[in-house]
Amino acid sequence: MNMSVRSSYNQALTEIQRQILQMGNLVSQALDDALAALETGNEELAAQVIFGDPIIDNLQITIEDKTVELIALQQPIAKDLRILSTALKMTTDLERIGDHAKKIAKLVPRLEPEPLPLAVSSITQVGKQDIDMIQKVLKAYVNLDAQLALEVIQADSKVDDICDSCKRVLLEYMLADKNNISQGNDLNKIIHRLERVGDHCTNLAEWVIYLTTGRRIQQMEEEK
Amino acid sequence: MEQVITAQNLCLFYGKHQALKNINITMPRNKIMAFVGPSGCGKSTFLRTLNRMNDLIEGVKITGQVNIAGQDIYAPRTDVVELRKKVGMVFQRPNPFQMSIYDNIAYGPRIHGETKKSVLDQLVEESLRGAALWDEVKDRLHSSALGMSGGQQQRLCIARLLAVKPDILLMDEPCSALDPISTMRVEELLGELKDKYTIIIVTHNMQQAARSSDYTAFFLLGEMVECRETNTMFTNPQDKRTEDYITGRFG
Repeated sequence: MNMSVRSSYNQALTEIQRQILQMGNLVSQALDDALAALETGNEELAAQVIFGDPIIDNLQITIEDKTVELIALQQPIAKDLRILSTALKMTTDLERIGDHAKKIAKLVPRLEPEPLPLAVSSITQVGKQDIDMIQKVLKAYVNLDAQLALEVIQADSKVDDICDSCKRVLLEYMLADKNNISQGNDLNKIIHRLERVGDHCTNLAEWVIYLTTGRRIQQMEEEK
Repeated sequence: MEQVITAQNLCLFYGKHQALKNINITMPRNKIMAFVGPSGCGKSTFLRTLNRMNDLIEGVKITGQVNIAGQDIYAPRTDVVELRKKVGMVFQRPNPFQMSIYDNIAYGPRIHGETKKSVLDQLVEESLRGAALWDEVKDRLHSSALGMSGGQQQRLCIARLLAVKPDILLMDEPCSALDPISTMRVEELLGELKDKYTIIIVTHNMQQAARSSDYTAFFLLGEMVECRETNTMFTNPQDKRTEDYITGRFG
């Protein structure tokens, strides 16, 4: 076996994992900034999130191209194949989270100077929960920690619960006065996006479990 | 699933050197099993225990049991010629006899007493068809087998086995001397043959094991480390030594 070929392959695999982590940190930061911009009405920060999104998109393309190249040239199997196949899936979920952050940032200039306090506090709460999930799933990815990934999946129901109650509040708010509809609608969209971020974190966690154990979570649950 | 081969606590010694250590394995009928592992790991040695080819090597001592279709093949009363008829072998380099294509195939049946031309004609055609070679050679059955390409010669050797109606085909790196196209033909042939035969293939080519086998067994230093379905073996091996070997991290 040609050791230099193998060691450059090993380096390429490590590099892909590093870039996934980088992408994860970028989307986490983007979401954090979008929520801060929302809370404080900081349009400049919101603009930064919007302009930063192509960096995330480009990183996705870089990771995917390199992954496809390694599959073609190195014929990876076993864990190597799982690293690369999960990289392809995880970049998709991470890129979507980045998109949600961007779309939330785009709504910032449209919101009233003082949006509905109750909704904003729910949004902040869900946002924190989402960011916590992203950070945990990245940690689980780096440490190949299936248990931590499982905790991320379990945390998603908390996100869903807060989102559901917030949607009910917003519905009452809009029903109370038709002048509230425009803002209520925007806040609803934000809540919906944060709920989707939680779902993407769940997907990411499922891929970490597959990467670590070689098995699907559904398969593991069926066996229980 | 019917297990056609069972080895229990099989050990093999070349003089003082132990080449196989306590091998326990079962192989299902009409499936392809690949043996993989670094050179000297015992995979070919184990393959040869399955039709007692190691008997021919001086100083070999075997303990444990190998059962094929319910028979202990190391029992004293075993007819070794009959065993090798049932459990045929294809080698790394194609080794056709220096005779015509027809005579290569008819050789086995003739040795086993078949003399009728019509029967032999039919056997030759059936065997060549079975080895996906008939269409390529039907017009030159009486020309020398040595004029064929390497890939054709290897398929001729497979056809020669089929002519004596075996149950099990042992193949020791059957494609390592072949070009990629011939390799592909042999691999396709394996897929067709498994409807009728149980096939065991020793290979150094991981992709070949992954592509063409149903089960894979990994050997290391005379031990059988892990044996499982090929799709699981190549996506999620359980033993770290298997993972390191198949991903090319040692060996």
